[in-house]
Order: sequence, then structure tokens, then C-alpha cells
Amino acid sequence: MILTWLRGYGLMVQWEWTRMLTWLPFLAAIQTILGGGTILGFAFLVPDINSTTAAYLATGGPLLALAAIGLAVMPGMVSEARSRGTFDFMQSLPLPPLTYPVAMLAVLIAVALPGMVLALVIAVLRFHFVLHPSPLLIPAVALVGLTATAIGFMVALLTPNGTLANLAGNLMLFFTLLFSPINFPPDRLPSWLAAVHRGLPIQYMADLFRGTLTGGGGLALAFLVVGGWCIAALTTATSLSARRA
Amino acid sequence: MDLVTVSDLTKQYRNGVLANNGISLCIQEREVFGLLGPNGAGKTTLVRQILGLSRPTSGSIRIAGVDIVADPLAAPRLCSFQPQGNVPMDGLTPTQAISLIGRIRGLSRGDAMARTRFLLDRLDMAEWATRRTQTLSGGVGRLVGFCLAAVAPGRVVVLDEPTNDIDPRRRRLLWDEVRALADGGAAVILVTHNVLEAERAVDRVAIVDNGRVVACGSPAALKASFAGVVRLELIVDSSSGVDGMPSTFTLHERVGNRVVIDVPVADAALALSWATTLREAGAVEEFRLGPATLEDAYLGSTVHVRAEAEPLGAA
Repeated sequence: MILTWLRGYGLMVQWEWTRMLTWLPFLAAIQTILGGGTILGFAFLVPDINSTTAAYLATGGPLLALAAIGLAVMPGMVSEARSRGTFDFMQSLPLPPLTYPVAMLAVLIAVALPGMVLALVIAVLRFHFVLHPSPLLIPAVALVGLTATAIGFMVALLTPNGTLANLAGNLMLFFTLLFSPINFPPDRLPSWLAAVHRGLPIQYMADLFRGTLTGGGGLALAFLVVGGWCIAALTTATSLSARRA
Repeated sequence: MDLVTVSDLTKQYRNGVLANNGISLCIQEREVFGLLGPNGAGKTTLVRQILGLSRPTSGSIRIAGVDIVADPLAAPRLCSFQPQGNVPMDGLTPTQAISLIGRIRGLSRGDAMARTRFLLDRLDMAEWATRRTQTLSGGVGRLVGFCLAAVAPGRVVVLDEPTNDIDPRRRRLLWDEVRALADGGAAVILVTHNVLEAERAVDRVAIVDNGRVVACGSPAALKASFAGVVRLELIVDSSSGVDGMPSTFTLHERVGNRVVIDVPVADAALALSWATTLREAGAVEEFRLGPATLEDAYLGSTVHVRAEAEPLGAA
């Protein structure tokens, strides 16, 4: 059963990967420029940046990249596939419900990876702090990527067309980017917004990246909360895609 | 054996459009079953429900005994599908795309590759086999789409407008492969509005209009109302009429300078000599004498129902 699933998933990744191969150099270049540029750009925005602030900015970077993939890129791609009939074709293949978007996620993470790494390297060199990446970084990336993808996929299924899906996804991304304690500590937020964030996964996702990149401990709660959100998002997305309007 | 049974199927969209209205059909193994109908008749809506991609408002669908309405996720194992639009495969070559889908549908790597080569060869597509698909024309994309549905065919193979944009020679090759799928044991559901082509390719046909099945049977049965009659088609000189029509002939219709006349089979020879005389006299530019086609039956059914159903506003 699991082997069948893995085989199907591997083949779907192969399909998406080969399809994107032509664009891969461009996509990777853009991701790299964006990743590196964000760090350098923040240094202009915050002139007297110290190494603690810099570490906050740098370790928030991978989360923003994954959020962009899940919340902005995914709804756009799925909506386009729906309007072109590709989605019907993919749904007509004997594969478990979320295989297609999760295969897209694997390819998109692979594309984004060089940019994420480069951004961290630039930050370390420019602001002189030290990273201690832990092996838990890998499950953290998978968990956060899956959650963001499942949410983005739901956005695509619940909106009637691509334009609205893009709009909704970008709105969520905007909220994540500016009003969430990713690049700054939660105590800078007004208390009501900080309280809202205690119920949302975003700050725990940021904790996961910060903890696994800087070698900090005490990530059990963050893994638990993000894991819970991940399961809830995957279950909802699965039942939504099986519901079939 | 009935492989697909559709009973009293109704699909009403949230905006109120009644796309399918009480459709009942049986489709058998080893049969090419045509779904004919004008644009917007509800053909694609019907097959999307058979494929488990859309849930009916009411009614039931069974494929090989499995209730597809209750268990839509069983449909992908039972059915393979060529959608109406071409599946974007930019970056993949036809060989890569077809063999990958073959493996996703359960073939081993070797079998998928062998079947891919076989299909590409049968459809005479060797020159495109290893070319990236973003450079392929619409017709070639259509052929590749057919191969995606045919590489590891389900027990039901649904083809939505498979011959659009394909050149006449490869169309014939494609129809041969459609027939081969049925001979291999599949029930092939063919959605099309190309009636003349379907007549030669299908065993049975359902004519769908305004969400209802208005006629169902073999092409010969549907043409039965035209039995004993042949059609004489005249392209007349616009200034003149068709004077002296023999009394056993009936004028079927006149559109512009095209005149269609129903002729009893017994009078076919008379029709031929009459039309020849008219042409020699310069009253007729050309003429054609032949049996009624499925298109005549089709136009008869759909025009009739449209006039009847219009007041419901369900179009």
C-alpha cells in the first residue's frame, strides 16, 4: 500500500520535474536573487542592524520562501490546471488525492533550495553570526512545506477562478510577511494580534526554522502545533478534493 | 455485458443550470459508444460524472458493479480519460509523457515503454516521439492525449473529442486504435460533435440535447425513419427553381441555392435521370444522390427537441 503510493508519488514528481526542467535555471536564478537580495535589502531598511536582529531576519527567510510557494505559487498553478483541464486529467489517474500538489511541492522546494541556502550564507557573512543547523531542519522544511501547500491547495479549490485564488493567496502571504512574528519577536505585536498568533501556526513555524538553524532546543511544542496544523490541513484538503462539486 | 449503467442521472449546477436531466444509459464491453450532441448539450458533464470527477445531483452510476457516486475514488482505477483540452506536457517528449502515465496506471517500466512505442508507431508519430512537446502542433498534442488514455486503458476509456485538429490520414489510424481498444475488451465512450465521422466509428450512439438523451441506438436504427428513402441534393442556379419535380418526390428543405429532396428508393434511377436533365439544361450546377446519414437523424432529433425544450430555459 505505502509502496504503491511511494511509486506513484515518485512517478508524479518525475512528471513535474521533467516538465519544469526547461524553466529550472530561470526559476532557481530568480529564487537566488530574491533570497540574497532580501537579506541585503533589509540591511538598508534597518541600518544599525545587530547580529541578533540579523539572525532573526535570516532564519525567517526560509519560512517566507516556503510560504510564498504554498500560498502564492500553488493556488495559481492549481487554478491554472483546473481551467485548462489538466487537473481533471490528474484526478483521473489512480493516485491518492493530494499526490499532484505534493509532487509540485517537492519540485518547487528543490527549485527554492539554492536561494534559501545562499540567503543564509550571505547573512552569516554580512552580519557575523553563527548557524548550527540540526538534522531536524529536514522534517521542519517538510512539515512547513506540506502545511503551506495544503492550505494553498484549499484556496485553489474553494475559489471559483485563478484570479480570485491568486488574490486570496497573496493576501494570506501579505499577512504572513508583515503582520506575523517571523522576522521580529512576537512581543512587538499588539497584545490582541500576539494572542491571535498563539492560535495560528506561523510563529511556531518560525520557531522551528530558528531553532533548527541556530541549534536552540525546546522545539517540542512547535513541532506539535505545526504537526497538528499540518494533519488538519492535509485532511481538510483531501476531503475537499474528494468531495467533487 | 453491461459495463457502465447510468440511471436517471441529473446534474444541476449551483447557478441553476440543468446540465443533465434524467439520463439513463447502458454501455457494454467491447463497444464503441458515441455521445453526440451540440455544444453545451451536457456531454462533457455526463462523462465527468462517470469519471467520478463531478457528483450527480441525483441518480446512479455503476461501473463493473461499483457505485461511482458513493465511491468516486474507484473511478480512476476503472476508467482512463482523454480530456477535451490538451494536457500541457511542455518539457516532456511524447515518449516520456506516455510511458510515465503508463507506469502511473500500473505498467512496469518495460511494458510501458513497449506499449508507448507500439502506439506511436501505429499512429505514425515516430518523427515526434522524442521531440519536446511545447514545439508540437495542436493535432499532435491531441494524438499524444489519446495515447495517454490508451497506454494502459481502463475497462472504460473516455475520449472527449479525440480527432479535433488531426490530419485525415492519422484520423483513420486513430479510429483503428479506438476500435482496437474495444476489441481488447474495453467500453469506449466517444464524445464528439463530428457526426459524420462518428457514424463510421461507433457501434451505438446516444444523441444528447439540452441535458437529455433524445435518441439512442445503432446508427442504422437511428436512421430507420429514413428507411426506403434516399436523398437528392441539388445545387441550383439561383435564378431558376426546380420545375417538374416528379410527384413521388418530397421537398425536404431549401437553404439558399441548396435543395434537399427525399426520393423513394424505387425512384432512385428516375431521380438520377431527372437531375442529369436539370444539369444539362443549366438549372442545376451539381447534384448528389445518397442514403440518409446519421447527421440527418441527428439534426432531426436535436432540432425537434430544441424547439420543444426552449420554454424551460434550461439551455
